[in-house]
Formats: sequence, C-alpha cells, structure tokens
Amino acid sequence: MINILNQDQQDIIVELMNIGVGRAASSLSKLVYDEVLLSVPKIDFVDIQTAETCFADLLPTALAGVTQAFDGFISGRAALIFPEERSLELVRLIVGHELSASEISELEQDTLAELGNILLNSCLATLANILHREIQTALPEAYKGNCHNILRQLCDRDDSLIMLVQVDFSLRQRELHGYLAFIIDLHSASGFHDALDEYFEKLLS
Amino acid sequence: MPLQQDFKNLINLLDTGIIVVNAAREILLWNPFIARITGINESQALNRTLEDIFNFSIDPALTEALQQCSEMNLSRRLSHQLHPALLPLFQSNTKEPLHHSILVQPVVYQQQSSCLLQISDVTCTVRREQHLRAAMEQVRHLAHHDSLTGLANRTLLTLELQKQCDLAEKNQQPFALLFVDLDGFKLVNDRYGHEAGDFVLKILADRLKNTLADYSKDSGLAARLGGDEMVVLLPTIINSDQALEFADYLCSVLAKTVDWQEQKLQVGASIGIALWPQQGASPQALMKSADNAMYLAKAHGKGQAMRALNT
Amino acid sequence: MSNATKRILLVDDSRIARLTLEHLIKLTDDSAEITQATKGDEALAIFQPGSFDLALLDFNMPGIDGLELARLIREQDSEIRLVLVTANIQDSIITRAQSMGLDFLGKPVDAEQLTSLLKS
Repeated sequence: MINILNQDQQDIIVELMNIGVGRAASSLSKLVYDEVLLSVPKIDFVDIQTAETCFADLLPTALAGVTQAFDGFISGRAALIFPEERSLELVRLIVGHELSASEISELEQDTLAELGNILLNSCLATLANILHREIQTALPEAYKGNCHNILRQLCDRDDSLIMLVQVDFSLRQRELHGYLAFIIDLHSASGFHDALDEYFEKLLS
Repeated sequence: MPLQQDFKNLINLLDTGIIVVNAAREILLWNPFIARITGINESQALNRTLEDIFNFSIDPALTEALQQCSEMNLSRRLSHQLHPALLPLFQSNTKEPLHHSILVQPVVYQQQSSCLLQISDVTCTVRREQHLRAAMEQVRHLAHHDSLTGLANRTLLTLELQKQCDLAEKNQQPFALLFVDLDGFKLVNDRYGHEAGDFVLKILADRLKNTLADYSKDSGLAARLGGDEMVVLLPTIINSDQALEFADYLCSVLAKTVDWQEQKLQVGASIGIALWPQQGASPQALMKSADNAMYLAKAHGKGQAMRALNT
Repeated sequence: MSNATKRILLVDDSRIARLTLEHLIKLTDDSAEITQATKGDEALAIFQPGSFDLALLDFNMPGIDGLELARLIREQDSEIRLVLVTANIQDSIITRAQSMGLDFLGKPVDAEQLTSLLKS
C-alpha cells in the first residue's frame, strides 16, 4: 500500500516539496529580515505504524506544532512537528524574545501557528499549482501531544497514506530539525496518481 | 428552521470583527464590531474597497494573504507578533492602537468567490504579556542585584568570578579582584541616621560603577556583598601596577564628599587587591586574598589601596 | 554565442528537476548538448575548463551548495556562464549570486525566462 506511488511519482513529489519548502523559506525570510535556509533531506512514504516508530525513534515524546486540513485534488491533513521545547524556540529565534522556553505565551502560540501555516500553505499550493490542480487549505491549529496521539489525531483511518518530510531549518546560525507530515486520504490518492502521471508525461514529451 | 435574519443577528452579536470582501476587495459584509472600532457603519462601508476604507495603509502581508486566498483558496493566519499593524485600528476611547490578529479564509458569499476576514482584538493579551515580561525582568534582576544600590549581588558575583577564572585559564590573561570597604560608614549611620547611610551608599556605588565603566568599557563587574563592602572585578588588567593605579584612583573618587541635606558627608575607602593567578586561581582563594589585603590597607591607616602580599 | 551548439552542464540532486530543465532547454534549442551531474563533487569531477558554455546549478544540494560550486568552477574557467537555480529567492542569496556575477533562475523554472537566458 505504500507502493501506491511509483518511483517516478515519488521523485516528482520530492522535487515539488523542495520547491514548496524553498519558497516558504523566502517568505519567512521577508518576515524576519534575516536569512532562512530550509532544506528537505528526506521524504518517506509510510503507513501509520511505521510513522509512529519513526517519530518515537527520532523525536522525544513531547511534541508540539501546527496542523491544518486541506481539500481538493488531494485531501487530508498536514502537520509541522517539533520536539515540544524547541517549537517555541523556532518562534523566539524568529521573533527574538527574552522569555525562556518554559514561560507561557499565548501570542507566541499564535505566531507558531502562522509559521506552520506559511510553510504548509507553500508546500500544498506548490503541489497544486505545478500539477495544474485545485486545492484549498483550512486555518492552522496549534497542538501539543505525543507521537501516538498526534498521528491518531491526524489520521482518522488506519490505512491513510502518510508522507513524512524531514526539514532542516537554519536561522541565524542555529539549526532546528522538524518534520512535515502530510496525511493523504486514500480516496483522493487516485486523483494524486493521475495528476503526477500527467505531469511526468509532459516532462518526457 | 433558522431564518436568514437569524444568522444575520448572530453575526451582529459576535465579539470579533467580521469583514467579507470579493475578489476586487469590495466590502460585501461589515459587522457591528468592526463598525464600532472604525467608526464606519455598514451602509457607509458596503461596496467600497478595503484599501479605500483604510486609506491605503494596509500591511502588505494582509494584501498578499487576500491575494493567495482569492487566487489559490489558501487560508491564512496573520499573528500580531509577526505583523504589529495589519490594519490601522484604534481603541475608540483612548485612540491607542488596537492590537489585532486576522484570520483569512476563502468563502462563497452572494455567489461570489470571496474572502472572510476575522479580526480579533488581542490588546488585553498583549498588555498582559507586556506586564508579565516586565515583572519577570524585575524578578530576574532582583535575583542577581542588590535592591538598594543596583550593583550585582553575591550570587551574580560568584557566577561571574567563576566565568572570569575559566576565561583567564583559557586565554592565560590575568585579571584583578578588588575588595572595597568604606571607612567611617558606621559613623555616618550613627550620627545622621540610616537614611543618610543608605544615601551615601547609593552615591558611592554609582561612583564606583561609573569609574569602572570608564576604565574598562563594558567588561568588569561591581558588586555589593553587604553592609558597606563592595567588590570590583577588573578583567582588563595586565599587571599589578595597573590594578594599584586604578584602585588609588578609585580611592580618591570615593573620598570626595557626598552632599546630604546641606551636610557634606565624608566617607573613604580601603581597598584590597588580589591578582589572578598569583593570589589565587579559584574564586574563593581570590576573595580571601583580596579581603586580607583590604584589612592590611585598613591597618595601614585607611583611605588607601593595598595589594595582597606576594604580588 | 547564440548560434553555435550550446554545451550545457546541469547540476541538481533531483532527477525530476534535471528532467524538467532538460525538457525546457530542448524546447528552445533542440541541438543543445546536455551533461548532467547529481552533486557538486560529481560535477567537479566531470568538469574541464572550456568544455561547457553554460552551467545551471541548483542551490540546495547535499554536500557543497550551488554558490560554492559556482565559485569553484569559476576558479577554473573564467568564460563559462553560470546560473543559480533555486526556489529560495531571498535577498541574501540573490545578492551573493549577483556579486559573483551569476545569473539567477527561480524554481519552478519559467520557460520564458530560460528561453531569454539561452538566447542572450
């Protein structure tokens, strides 16, 4: 079921994610008046069990981040995921605050939601635009949880297609590693297939 | 079955600004909340463009979000922290800026592709956070500083002294520690009262701080250990002669009179100097050496600086 | 420069990106000779001064990035035309590219931009 996408299709998605993340970096850099480098070292297409294992291995239990739903030629939910104590660090690196990580800030949650929003919108819009398809995104929501309940929250069925994207953020000489996860509803997977095949045909023609 | 008017009534009651614009940014809906804040009612707002109503002072981030919303159906959250002035909104009573966040979502309204803007007033949150931050800053400061003089306290001094020892070890660069004890302070307290004593302490602490700042720019630390005992950490010292030169100068600065209620109060200082690494490589050793040197200075007649023995 | 056969070096770790560029180049100039490399060190291994007229370099690659690769190629060949290709079009990167005398292409690559680049 992970083999739902062939190598060519996966390669297209990798490139489109790279473009989406690259564009998000340039939007973020305008907001922070500083250099923002985002790179995508790895993309994996997995099922929910594997995703849980991935998270459990690579991220500490407490996670925080942003989720948003999307609908159109593909539908599902997208998430930006950080180890919890570093999520607000991203905000503080960008906004430049004096508060320490454990100090609560409502406004900073708001800001984290926006940063995730910009990143996820960029990736989803790039996918749609380049494949000449339509997509719609919903408002982002900030969340906190652990690797189990986050995935359960995002996947309402056990057989969703999960695309895990590892992202490295470099801001002001600091490095942060986070994940983008795209949970794509299988009933929209065939639409995804067709769009990718069409694009590939065009490339070879 | 709710009537159309029922929904309209609900929108009118919402405690959030609601604006709907079409692709040309013309106002299709303008709720009472936003009308109250802007002083522009719905009939005046309808069919004008957003740019026109807000006098073309809309943050480009909002314009971009609206564009992405109508062209690409993307929802956007615009947070106050990243965009302090999305729209020119002001408190109706005080004319202070009204801090706000905006949510933008694509919607179909009156059969047109439109954008829904939800404008939330976050002024209370912003104010609360400003107070919280100021309070935390105060707490942080008090934890490390003496409340009377504003000088560093013993805790901060110990931390900085350790850091300085480590740095000196790493770069093999000496520094000096000065123990400053005020002469005749007890007399001032007894004769003129504690208010006078506190005042003198404050003045002398300021002089100490300023003298240090002039000498060593931003490095160095002035601390108060308690009573009339102060300590100076001097990182820009090459040898003990330099340290003595500074200490002598400091003595003269502190010996100058202090004006208090038409009295001229005079308090001097006895200063003990200890050098890293000769008189100690650890904070404790240095403190002891400087303390001993200070007693030597007192024994020798006060109002002077003395280096620790074996300098 | 415009009429002779163009010898072009494409460096990008993404197969699809290389395919896309190749496709767009062929649309403009069917006779162009295209050589591909997937990474900076691979490109440097293939590279000989004077063997290419134009190099299109992806910015974001594992190992050395496009700007660093451009610098190393420029050290060996002062004639070759170098173009940085990236989705991350922020000022700091553009400025660095321009100060090195590099042209710039934003991803996804616009067919028109590429065409005018090739023709000039």
